[in-house]
Order: sequence, then C-alpha cells, then structure tokens
Amino acid sequence: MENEGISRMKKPTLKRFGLGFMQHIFAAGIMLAAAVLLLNSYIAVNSIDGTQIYKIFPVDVGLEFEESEMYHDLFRNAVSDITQLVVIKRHLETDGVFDPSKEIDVTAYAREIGADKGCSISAVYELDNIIKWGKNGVEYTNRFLSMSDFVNYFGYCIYPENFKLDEHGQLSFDAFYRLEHMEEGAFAQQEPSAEGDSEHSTQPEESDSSLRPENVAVSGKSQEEIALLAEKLNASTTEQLEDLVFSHIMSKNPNHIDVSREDDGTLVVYVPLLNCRYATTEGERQLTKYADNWMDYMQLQDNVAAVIEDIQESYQRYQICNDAYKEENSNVKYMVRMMTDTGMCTYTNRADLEEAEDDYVTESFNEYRWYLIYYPDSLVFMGNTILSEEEIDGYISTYGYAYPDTTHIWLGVDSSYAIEGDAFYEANALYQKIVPNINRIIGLIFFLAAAWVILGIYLTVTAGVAVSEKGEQIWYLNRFDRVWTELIFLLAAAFGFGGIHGYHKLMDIVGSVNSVPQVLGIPLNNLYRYGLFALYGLYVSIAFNLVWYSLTRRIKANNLWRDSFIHFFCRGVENSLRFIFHHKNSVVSTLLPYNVFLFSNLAAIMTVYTLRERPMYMLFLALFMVVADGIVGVLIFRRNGEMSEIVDGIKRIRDGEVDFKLDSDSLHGSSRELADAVNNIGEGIRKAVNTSMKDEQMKTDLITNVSHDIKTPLTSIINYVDLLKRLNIPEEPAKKYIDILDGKTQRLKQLTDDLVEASKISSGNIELEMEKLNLTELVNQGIGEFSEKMEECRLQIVFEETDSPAYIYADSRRMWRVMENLFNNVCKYALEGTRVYIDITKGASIEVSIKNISRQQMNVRSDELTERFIRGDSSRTTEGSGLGLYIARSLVQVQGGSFELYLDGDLFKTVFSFPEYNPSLEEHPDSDTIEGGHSMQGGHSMEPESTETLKDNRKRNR
Amino acid sequence: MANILVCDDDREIVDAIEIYLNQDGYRIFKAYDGEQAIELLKKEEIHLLIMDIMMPKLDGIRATLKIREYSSIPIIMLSAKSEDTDKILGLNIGADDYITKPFNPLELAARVKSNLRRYTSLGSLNPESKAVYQAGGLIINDDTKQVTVDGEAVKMTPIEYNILLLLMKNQGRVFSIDQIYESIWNENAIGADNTVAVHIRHIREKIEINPREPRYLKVVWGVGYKIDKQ
Repeated sequence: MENEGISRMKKPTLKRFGLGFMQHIFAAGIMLAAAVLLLNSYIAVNSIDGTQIYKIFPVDVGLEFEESEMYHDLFRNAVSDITQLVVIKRHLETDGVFDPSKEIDVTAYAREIGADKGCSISAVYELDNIIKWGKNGVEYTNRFLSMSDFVNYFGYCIYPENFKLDEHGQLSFDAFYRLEHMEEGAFAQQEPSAEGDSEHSTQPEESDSSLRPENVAVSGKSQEEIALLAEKLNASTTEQLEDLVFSHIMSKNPNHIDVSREDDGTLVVYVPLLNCRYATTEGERQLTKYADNWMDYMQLQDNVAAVIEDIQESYQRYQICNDAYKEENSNVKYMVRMMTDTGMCTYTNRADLEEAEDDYVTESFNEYRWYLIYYPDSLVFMGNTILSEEEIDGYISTYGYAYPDTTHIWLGVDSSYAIEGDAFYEANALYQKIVPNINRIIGLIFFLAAAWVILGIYLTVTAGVAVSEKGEQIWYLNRFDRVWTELIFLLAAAFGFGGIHGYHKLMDIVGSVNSVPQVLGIPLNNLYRYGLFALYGLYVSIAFNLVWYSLTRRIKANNLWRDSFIHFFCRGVENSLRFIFHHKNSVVSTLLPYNVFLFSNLAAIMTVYTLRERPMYMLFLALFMVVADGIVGVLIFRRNGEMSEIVDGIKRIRDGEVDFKLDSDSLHGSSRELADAVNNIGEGIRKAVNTSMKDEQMKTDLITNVSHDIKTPLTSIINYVDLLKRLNIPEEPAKKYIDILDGKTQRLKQLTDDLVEASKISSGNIELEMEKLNLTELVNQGIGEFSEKMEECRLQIVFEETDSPAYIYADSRRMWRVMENLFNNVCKYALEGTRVYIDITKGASIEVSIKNISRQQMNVRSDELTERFIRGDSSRTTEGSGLGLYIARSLVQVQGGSFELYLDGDLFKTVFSFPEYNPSLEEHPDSDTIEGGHSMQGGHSMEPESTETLKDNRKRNR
Repeated sequence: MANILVCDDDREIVDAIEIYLNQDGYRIFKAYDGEQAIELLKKEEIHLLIMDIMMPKLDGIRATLKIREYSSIPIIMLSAKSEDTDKILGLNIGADDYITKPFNPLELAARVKSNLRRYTSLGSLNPESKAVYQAGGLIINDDTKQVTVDGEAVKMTPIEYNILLLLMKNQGRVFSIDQIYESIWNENAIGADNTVAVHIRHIREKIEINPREPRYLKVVWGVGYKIDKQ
C-alpha cells in the first residue's frame, strides 16, 4: 500500500456512503414488504382444541378463497369442532340448553369415555357440582392403615368361600364373596358390572350367577372344597391370610395403594382416598358407602376423577365453542340428528330446520356453496369440499359412543359471510386483502432484492479503489480494515448469531398473530412489528456491508493474511526464533548463565529450606550462595561499567574526536572485543577524515595556486592597461577599447578573488572568529559605506532602525562580506530611482531582509540565484562574478544562519536570519557551525572533515 | 630623491612599477630574484625595497629575513598571495607593508611615499605637547587642530575632526555608532542612523591610502570603529 498517497488520493467516500445507505434502505424495504406478507398471512382461530393458526401460504393466486387450502383447513377445523361440540352438548345439555342440575352417572359416563375398568358400582352427581369440583381440583387424603384394618376395612372377609387352592395346592385368595351381602343386595350391586367386558373376575361372576338359583355356595365351590379350605384356613395364621388378601387387592389395583414396613416390624398401608367435596344426588358424601371392597371402591374413585376431568375439559370447550357456533355468531351452519335411546336428538344452529324432515334439511344445505352431508347408516356422503368420507369418519369415530349409526350430519358454510367476526369472515377478509396483491408485493421484494444485489456487486467491485492524483487506480484500506482479520471473522460470527436469533424472534412475532407479544416490556402493536422487520433488514444489510466490504478490500489489497492475528503471531514467533538464532552466542553467554544462576539460586533456597533442621549446614550453604551471588553481581556491575565506558568512547568519536582510543587492555571478555572494534572503526574514520581533508585541501590549494598564477599576468595586464590610459591616445576607438580592457581586467580580478573565496568556503577551509555583534550596527555601517555608491545608482535606502540592538553570534568580517555582497548586488541589479528597504525583525531569530526592485526581468528561479555563477540576467556580460549571492549564502550558513531569496515579479527580496545571541552560544557554538558547514557543502564532502577544520580553527583562535 | 629597488621575477611588472615610480621622481633599481636584490642592496644605497614573494633562486620571505639581519629599510611585499596568513607571515618576518597583486598603481605609489616618509622622519614627533596624539603615521594636534598623515596635512570638517579626535584619544577602544553620535552631537542617539558611518567613511577616505583596507581607522563590523595603538 502506498501510504504516502493516501492523503492526496481521491477516495469516493461520500459516494460509497450514499450507495451503502441506499442498499440499507432497500434491505429495510425488502423486510417491510416481507412483513406485509407474513404479518397478514396468518389467522388464529379459537377452535375446540385450543387456538389454531392457519396460514394463507402456500397459495395459488388464481384460486378463490373458497378454493384455497386455508379455506379447507378452516372447514376441516369446523367439522372437527362441531363433531366434538355435539358430543359435549349431549353431555351437558338438556333439550339444547345447558343444564347444571343434570344428573351424571359416574360409572356410565366413564364407560362412555372409555375410562372405566369394569366398576360394578356407581354414584350419581349433579353436573354443576362436578364442574365446580373440577374447578377446585381433585384432592386425595392419605389414610394409614394397619394390615388387618386395611383388609377388614369393608368388613371381615376371611371366609373359606373367599379362598381357593391353586394348582400346587397352595392357599390363595379368590374373591370377595359375602353371604350376608348376597342375600341383601348383592344382586343389585352386581348388575352394572354385568355389561362390562372386563377380563378379571368374570369367571366367578358367571359361575356365581349360574349357580345361584340352585342355592349352592356363591363362590361355586362344593361343600368338600369349602371344608378343605376351612381346614387350611384354620391351619394358617391371621397374618398369612391377611397377606393373601392384600396380595389379591394389590394384584388387581396396582396403583395408589402403597405399603411400608414400620420400624417395629408392622406393615402400614397407605391408601389415597378421594376427598368428596360434593355430595351425590342421594346426599351421600362418602364414596366408601357405595363399595363393599377395596377393588370396587378404587375403581369408582378413579371413575369419579376421570369424569370430573373430562367434564371440566368439555365444559371449557363448550364455553369456547358453543357461543362461537351459535347461529348468530358463525357462518358455519350445521345440523346433527341422531336416534338415541331417548328418541331423536337434533343439534343444530339452524333453528328453522330443527323440526324439518331430513330431505328438506338436505335440500337446504345443498344451497350452500360448500356443504357436507353424511348419513353413515345409508352410506350417503355428499359434499363438494375436499373433505373425504374417511376424514369425517375419523372425526366421528373418535366419539363413536356418541354417534350411533343413525346419525345424520349436515354442514355448510355461508359464502356470503354474512356474519362478521367469525373465522371464515376474518380469513376471507385477510385473503381478499393479501392475495390479490401478493404478486405485487413479491415483485417488489424481488425488485428490491435485485437492486440490493446490484448495488452490492457494484460496491464490491469498487470497494477499496481510489483514484490517485495521477489518475491511477490504487487500493486503500481504512482504519477498520487494519484490524486483525480474525476479529472480522468473529464479528461476522457474532452478526450471524444475532441474525439467526433475530430471525427466530421475528418468526415468533409472526406466529403470535392475534395476541400482542411483549419485547422488553413494550407491547408490540403492528407499527412496532413492521419497525422490527425494517430494523432487521437494516441490521442484516449493515452487518453484511461492514464485514463483506472490509474483507473485499483486504483481499484486493492482499491484506487478508498480512493483517491477521495468525500472521502477526507467526511473525512474532519467527522473529523471536530468528533473533535467538542470530544471537546464538548470546544464548550461550547470557541466557544459559542466567538460567544457571536462577536455578542454582532456586535450588539453594530449597536446599536451605530442607536443611532448616541443621543450622550449621544451612548457614554454610547460605553463606556460600551469598558469596557466589555477590561475585555474579560484581561481574555484572563490571560488565555494565565497561559497557558505559565504551558507549562514552563511541559518543566521543561520534562528536568528532576521531583520535580517541579506548583502553582495551583494561577491559574484559566481550567488552574488550567491542572496544577493539570501536577503536578500529575510530581509526578508520580518522583515516577517512584525513584523506578527505587532504583531498579537500588539495582542491583548495589547487584553486589558490591557479589563482596566483592567473594573478601575476593579470597584474601586468592591469598595469599596462593603466599605462595605456595615461598615454592620452588621441584616437577615439582606441580609448574605448582601452576602457573595455580596463573593465574586463577588473572583472577578471574580482572573479579570481571570488573563486578562491567560494572554493575555500565550500571546502570548509575558512577560519571563523565568532563574536557577539550587533546586526543593526552592521547594517548602519554598511549603509554608511555604500551611501555614495547608492547615490550614484540613484537608490534610496529605507532602514527603520529598531531601538534595541540585534545581537547575534558571528564572525564580523564574514558578516561584512555578506552585507557587502548583498549591497553590491543591490547596486548592480536594482532599478535606478527606486527605494531599497532594509528591515530587521526580531522573532524566534533575528531576521534581516533587503528588498529592491529588479532592473531587469528575472528569468531564473530564486533557488538558482544562489548557485555558483548564476546571475539574474544569465548572460554574464555585466560586471560581477556571479558568485556574490553564493558566497553570501554560504557564509551565512557556515555561521549558523539561514539565507533565503524570494522573487515576486520584479520584487527581489533577500532574507538572512540568525538565532539571537545568548552566552550559551559562545560555549557550545559547534552544533550551529557544523550544520551550517554541512548544508553549505551540498553533501560533496564528508561532514567530520569540515567539523574538524572548524573545530581546529576555533581552537587556534582561542 | 629616494632610491627604490624593485624585485620581481616578472620583468613586465618591474618595468611597469618603474614607469609609475619614475613619474613620482624616484630612482629605480631592478632585480629579478632575491639574490640579485641582496647584491644590489649591498652595492647601492637603497631607501626602499619592493619585493615579490614567489621568485626563483631566493624567494621574497628568505630574502627579507636575510636583509633584516643588517638593514632596517622599508620593505613592501608585493605578492599574488592574498591570504591573511600570507600577509601575516610577510609582516611578521620584517616587511613593513604588504600589497597584493593585482595592485592599484596609485596605491602602490602612495604606500611607497608613506613608508619613505615614516622611515626618514621617524622620531620627529614632538612629545612635549599633551594635545598631540599619534598612531603610526597619523598625528592629530588638538592645539593647532591639525591632522597629518605621514607628515602630510589633511583637511577635515569639524565633525570629522571631532570623531577622529575621540578615537585618537581612546586608542584601541571600539566606539559604536551610538556612542560616537552621543559624544559628538551631545544628543540622544535615537535616529542617528548612518550619519556617523558616512562621516567615518569620509575620514577614512582622507587619511587612508586604501579606504577598503584601512591602516588607522578600522571598522569592527557590527560593533563599531576604532584606531589601534601603533
């Protein structure tokens, strides 16, 4: 990545943001449209089996409501409801009206609903008592009975008749045959159980009834058998016999009754007895009164509980459905007619047809668009719904006991939905609202999705692309893209988790059609639901944007791997390993001894601890370790001391003291090696500096010598030109020629001088006599010196003197040279008759600026003017060497100042500045001078050389 | 008239100097190396010696050293070597003056004249008057309000005279422009600007042979002006 280009390249941030925003809006739109579909596609119906939810989907748009799946589901639901409702009505109503005082025979009812296990006794309760009982709940009380109390609870039962012998001749309990009961009311009590087809105890009962008229024993046992049994009975203890009776009861009644052995060895029987909250119609509150043995009692008790439960449930359903399917409340019309023991029963919500003949009813129901007519006995099944005969058979057979074969069922739905508010009406309304628009909504969803995808593709393609200044495409990453890649994946996973969670929440909201769910205590009305859908859309889109585009940019910039934590980690490990590998010696020389030191100390501490019982050894070892550690400490101290010595030496060499040598003999080990190396480097630098100095010196010497050689003939030329001038040659051209010679020789002379000076400055081969001087004074002196020359050039100097002196630290003669060159420059190049402005400003540094209007148009750049041999007119025909500004700039820089030129049209401005004088400059002037010397040389000579020269000079000057 | 020995290995330069100095009425002897110069000095009565440094056989420095063993005549070094170190070396080993090539003939003549005058009129100062101050060839007599350079009177304006007198009275001390202004004009120096500097320049033009390289009234750039004790 070209980081340097980032600030300058054109990033389409705003555009991308706008497109991304549009994408999010589309996503929210998709979800809103989906919400319209989903939130309006469900209907909740309170059916007899609880609240049922029906969906519009899947839907065939071409179909009418009455042909739709939903309609058929609702119809099915209605059939199911009505078949059940009729049964419930039969149980709870008398002549079509709820009858609270209706008498319910518990055992008969239980048998009807299939809960009875062949109970031979029964009890009768009033309907409202049972309903109330059910509301309050069925409760039991545990009775604790001793074994004999339990066995004889309903009377003594250990008679020979009640026992029998099994095939092994062992005595076992047979059944409860009671002589006294038989005579009094056994017949009546046996009667209800006669119809039951329960498997147990059939045998004795049959024999019982068959043998009774012959006045033989009730059990059907012969006298011999009874005598044998009586004999056996007498031989057994009471406990054994009771045990046999208990075993018999337990074998028939596996539940409820429990037995446990107490601490004293007696057996205790736990019997849960039903709390009879209400009395029977006979006013009896104790169920035990109806039973003469445990088995009958327990069955009766179970039946009562079962009936209570069933009626409780039926009553609830009745409450829900009876109203719902009343004639004025439902578009579903039904009629069920059946023949029962008590005559013909008709259940209907079409009161007008209640008394009508079957054929007329059938005709009436035929008028409904959707109807169902079912005569199971005559195998008539008519209907135009998709409900099959098997299905309706299925519904009816569940309540087979309630539907005799003579049942006739008519069912129809009023397609005009004249009655508002029922399931069909609501479903129709919903259907009419949604289905005609379904294509539009789905189309909208597809359109938005397509727009989202297209935007996404565009943004993916252009992600991370920016246009640099040069118009090239470059990749860029923003700060988020610099985060570890793994974190992005984690973020993606978190978003994904949140998305799935949100999806389930949304589906819950969709599912809770009519109820108002609460989220965080806020009831969700429809507005909130749509809002949540839109939010979800936004969430998915934004999360996707964040993760996907960042990944795209990373992949494009090839940063996926580079910015990953694994990469970072691997690099760290790699670097560490490489470092260790590169410093194998240090591992041996430092890491190893360090660990040895550490572990030996640890070992010593532990040993001292184990030796704490033996003070002498302990003391000795501790002393030894202290001494050893002391030696290590001294060694480390010495090593560090030597290190700092070497560092000091390096600093001195760096600061220019190239002759400095470390005393390597006084050092030890690796420090000595280091010191030798430093000495070698220092020596190398010294040689290089000397060579370079020599070279530079030679160069300067060469220029100086050449200039000497030039000067000698130049002297003759100047002198003889002067002599020629004095000859008063009469010819005009000759005079003119001599003048030209005169001018050119003077220029040559100037050039030679300047050349030598420039060469010396640039090689750093000058002596500086730094002192405190006043720039204001210098400028005034300069103006004084040049006053006449300026007047000749008709230039007016404007110098606003400041009150306070401007002290700097510089070489006064060099500073004069600078001023002289600048003034000369002004004289040469300023437009006649203009003013020259000189200003001294004191800020962070003292700044002198000289401004004049150029005589000629400048066709060079300001930075070129200070180069050697460059002049404003670049023609070299006028006076001057072209070195003036160069020398001035070099001199300023070598003294630690800065020098700048500004060209603005014809305005020519020279500015040089120096730090204000303070005594510390006098003490440490090196840094400034070194810098000046360095920059002045333009990098073609070595720094230490000039430093050295200047330093030496300064020493000599002192 | 004074006899002047000109010694340079460049004959044309010697001839040119001869022409110039002849015009001023001096008698010229010519030598082309150090040995010739020493021989001529022994043979002729020479009052002043103009000598190049870089010459064959015996160079100017060594010749001067030899001459100084027995003679104290003024020696003017005339050399292409223009470095400060060269000048210092030349003056230190016994030369009285140092002129760099290429030189201005008029300056050479003036310096010759100056040196001769000092040589011949050495010790002519009258020290009894306290109002007389001297620095080398520059003498200022506050009684007569006269200024002479190498015995030659110089005309000065009152302000120039006062400035010169101030500097002559305090030889070796550097006066800044403000100080000079305040002591001459007896006014606060604010606004003095460059008046003093211009006057100083004029003084230098009057008393110095080459105002750019003054012998007496020296400019300490950025500090002020002074006249050194000589």
